[in-house]
Amino acid sequence: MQPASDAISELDLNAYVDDQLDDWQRLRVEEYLSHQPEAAARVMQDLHLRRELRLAFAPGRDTPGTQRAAATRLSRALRRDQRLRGVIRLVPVAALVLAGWLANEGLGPLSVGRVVASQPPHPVIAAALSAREASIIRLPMRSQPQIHELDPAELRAATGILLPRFDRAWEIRDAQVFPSPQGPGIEIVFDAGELGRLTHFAVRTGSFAVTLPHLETHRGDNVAWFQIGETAHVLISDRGDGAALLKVAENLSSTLY
Amino acid sequence: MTTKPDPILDQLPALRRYALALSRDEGEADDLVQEALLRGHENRRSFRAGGNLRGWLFSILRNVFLDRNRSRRAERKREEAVAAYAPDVIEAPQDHALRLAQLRQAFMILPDDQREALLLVAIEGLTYSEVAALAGVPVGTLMSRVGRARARLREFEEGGARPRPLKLVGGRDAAGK
Repeated sequence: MQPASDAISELDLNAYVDDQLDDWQRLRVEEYLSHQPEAAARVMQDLHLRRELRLAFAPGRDTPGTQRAAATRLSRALRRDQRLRGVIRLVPVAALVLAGWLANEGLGPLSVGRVVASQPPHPVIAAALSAREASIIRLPMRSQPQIHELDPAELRAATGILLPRFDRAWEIRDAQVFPSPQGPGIEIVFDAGELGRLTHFAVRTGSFAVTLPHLETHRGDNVAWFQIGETAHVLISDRGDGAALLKVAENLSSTLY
Repeated sequence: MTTKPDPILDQLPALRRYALALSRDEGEADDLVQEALLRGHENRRSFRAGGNLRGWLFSILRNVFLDRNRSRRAERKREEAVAAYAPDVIEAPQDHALRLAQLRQAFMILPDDQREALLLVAIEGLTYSEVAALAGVPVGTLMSRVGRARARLREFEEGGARPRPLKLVGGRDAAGK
């Protein structure tokens, strides 16, 4: 069988030396070299030079500590970002609902008034309720692995929101960050034992206030909420009694001071 | 200290070699790597998870080098450094270490673009297309750079003759990006 020797060029030989060819192409080049002693000698020389170059550039000096430190810091940050991306998904539904509500209601300071059930709920709570509905519908559809731990420091880095310290017994079912005109908010869904499915919703209100926890009822769900600084925290549970939820809200708010 | 392999630490030796091949000065190379790591930390959002970490780091390093390199002073400093690299007399290699040192010198006085291409392809084992993308040139251009660099090194080897230091007029073609 005659090899198609004439099809082998200088570039092919270089690519052979540089290990850029697949097995079939390598075969062709080797076939050619077996008939071309001069080219073969040159390729051997190039391979030899390449190996020598690698030896010549073997690390001679130890890496400075500052570089090692900077490298470690960078890989930590990358790992952290990656985990964060795993935990957080942007959810357009919640985002739209929230942005719509906030834009609609204007962004006045949260007033601490008695809320009667017949009154429309506070926009923050309404947004929380809508987002909760969306996430409860979505939960059974999730194909992603469950998240079992949250890193408050990471979430804070990503959103600027300081989360309260949650009861360790609660199981995290879902966590999301969603954009809003005032900056991102966080929704976390827990299975919280007696309180059933508990949603914690941290959202920026665009105004500064300190509101002590208080309780409302909407559509059969207990809602406890409080505000510290610019962030309102809304807790919604579908089981348990209101007093227990209010107690939880008080405990959570105390971890933020 | 973690015992887990750290992907960035693993890339450090390659980054340092690349920095040295670009700058030809060990002190400057260390500065380049340090600055590239910091810049990477600042711009880490630009790295897509699961992306090519090495390529990302290399291109940051390259940009750091180009940014610094815009000053004429750095240019002059490097020319002086290169002059120091070029040995007066190349003796017949007596042992391997000496020969490697000479080869390194021969490599260091290759023109900028050839030096970069040969390092990335032959030493770091990147593919032609990776290097072409990094340097912002067509693959064909890159391949001919590698070929020319090889030819020069063969010349150095065969002649035993002193490789002619090139006049680094204008240095790297930064506009060719």
